[in-house]
Amino acid sequence: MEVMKKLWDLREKSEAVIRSLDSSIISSQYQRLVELGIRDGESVVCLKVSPFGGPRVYQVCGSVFSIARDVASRISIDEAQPNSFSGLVANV
Amino acid sequence: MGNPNSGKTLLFNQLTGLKRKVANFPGVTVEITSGSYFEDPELEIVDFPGVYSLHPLTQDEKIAVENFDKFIHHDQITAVVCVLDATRLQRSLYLAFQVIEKCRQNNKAVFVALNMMDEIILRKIDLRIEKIEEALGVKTIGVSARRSLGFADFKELATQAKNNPENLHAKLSFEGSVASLKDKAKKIESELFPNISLILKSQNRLDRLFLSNWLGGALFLLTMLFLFQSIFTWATPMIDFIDMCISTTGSWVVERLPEGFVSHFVEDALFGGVGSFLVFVPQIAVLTLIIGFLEDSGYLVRAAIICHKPLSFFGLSGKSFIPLLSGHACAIPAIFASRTIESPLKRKITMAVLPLMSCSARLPVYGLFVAVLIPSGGFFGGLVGYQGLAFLACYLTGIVVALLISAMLSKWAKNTPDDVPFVLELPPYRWPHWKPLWRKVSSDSWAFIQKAGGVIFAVTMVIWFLGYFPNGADHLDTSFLSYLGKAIEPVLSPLGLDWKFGVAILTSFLAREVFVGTLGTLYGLENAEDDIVGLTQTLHDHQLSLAAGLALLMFFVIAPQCISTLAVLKKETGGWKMPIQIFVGYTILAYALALMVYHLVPLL
Repeated sequence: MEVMKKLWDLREKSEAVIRSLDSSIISSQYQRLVELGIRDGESVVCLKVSPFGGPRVYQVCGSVFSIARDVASRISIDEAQPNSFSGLVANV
Repeated sequence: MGNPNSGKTLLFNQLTGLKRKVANFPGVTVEITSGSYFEDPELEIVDFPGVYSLHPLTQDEKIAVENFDKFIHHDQITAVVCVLDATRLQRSLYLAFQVIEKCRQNNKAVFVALNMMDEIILRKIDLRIEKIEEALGVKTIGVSARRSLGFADFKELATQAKNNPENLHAKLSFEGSVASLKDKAKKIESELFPNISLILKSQNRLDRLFLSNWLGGALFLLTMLFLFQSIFTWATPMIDFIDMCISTTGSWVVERLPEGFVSHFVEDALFGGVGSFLVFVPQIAVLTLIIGFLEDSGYLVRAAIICHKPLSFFGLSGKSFIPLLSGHACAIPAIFASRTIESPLKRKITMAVLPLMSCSARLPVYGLFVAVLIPSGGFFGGLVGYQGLAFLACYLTGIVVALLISAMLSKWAKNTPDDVPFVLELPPYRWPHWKPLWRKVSSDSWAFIQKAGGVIFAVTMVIWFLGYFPNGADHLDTSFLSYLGKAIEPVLSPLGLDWKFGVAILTSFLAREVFVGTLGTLYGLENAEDDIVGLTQTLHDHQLSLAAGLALLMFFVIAPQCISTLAVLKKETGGWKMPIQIFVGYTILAYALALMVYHLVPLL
């Protein structure tokens, strides 16, 4: 079976659907991510990949977040088929 | 209650006219404040710090939620107001569900203020408030804090809460898991507000500029350079003006007083001591204004993102950036601001290095010595001034030492496995409202003037008396003060400083800004026959050596001379251990580095 892609692997200006949050994320932070809308089933767009591995910018649930590698590499995603989520991209 | 950046604090500001500041960064408003409604002093409004949910994560959220739990059981609280950001409905609704449910369980009146309605109207979006009211089962009004719209409705509901609270009780229950509430919020949003992403368009466009790989970094550096340059360049005309006013008034008053004890006192202690400090108020105002502007516009959060990677090399996170920057205004609010850092270790390190940020109390000292030691003029026809650059160097020294120390501290504590990951929400860019900014600047400047009127006045008075007696003016060398000063001179002579500086440094451990006042009084006493001239001129005439001056500057960059900061650190860390370590450690470090500067400068 193919290893699931992580949010950190998502290229700039592409979108995906969040599949799961890794259980290694500490529980209080896990809950906060869900509360912010970073949870399974939500569409996510990568707005910006920063140089030198700096925190990247993602749009989820009508909000924009900066997420560092330590979290983004623990969120599994399904990359979207072209055009299936185009309505969600805000002028990327 | 409301989310961070829901415009709650601006709404509070507009409704109460109280001196408060809005923060565009999640949770800068950490202490809970209240004020009276401007048209009705009977009606009191309490402002809570912004929270994402009633399940708190950071220290400031914990404080807010704990207090909310207390307040809801309080009879004096007639109603809870839920402030929603109409442009970010889904996220706002999630918190609203929790707050409404809490109010329903406690039989407390609750209503919703849908803020930012001006942006909705501006974009010609058809958002039906009655639909939201229906979905939430509580009275809902549309307001715009920025444009002062909907305040009459707010007043009406607040009065209703007092007279017939049962009209405002929640009708629907919102029990359920986090996921089910999120689903509900999402559903309501997609029904009422399908084109939410329109709002993000302009935000993302600006972020492409401010967060772009090279331009973003360059803009960040330019912003910081501008910040420190403007402290000197913008404030100079105002400083000169105040200086002139003080000298003119001083001479005018002194001329009309009979020569003797009283005139000496007025001239040296009042105008020489307190006056020499007041001159630096414009610099404090300019610094507060620019930091406030960056904060309210939303840029500071972007700056935090840009800084995250570089700061993480030193064991800090991007979230440390806001406390560290506001530490340049004052360490105390900065220590409170560090409550937003979730990681206990990073929070502690941030607090430990905060006193190294050059706070505005150091400004008078920097200002004085930079003006004495560094010639005016500059590159590009004076556009980038030498004095401004020297200022920048002082600030940078503090920052570099802080980074090195935090790197060291995190190395020592590296087996603490509490690393909380970095997630930061980017608020929309908003043009700052002048009102809270102006209030912030005026209240900060006023606080400084009051301090000058209180502590500094008292200290300069004591210094003046000790310096004047037993032999009167012109005999400073045989005064009580000189005995005290000469006793500590052995510590300072290795730095090339005489006992007058010793006395000034000693008093500055109460509060740094006392230093300039003390020095002003001392030199005033010594030159009793002179006209009142600025302290800058006096020091020029005394030919303070460059090496000694720079050594003194170095000392002030590092030394922890502020009792209030140490007291707040004690409160935040729950013990004296950290403040004592900081006090002893930084004093020794400051002295050692000053000694190094004094011996290295002549070699250059």
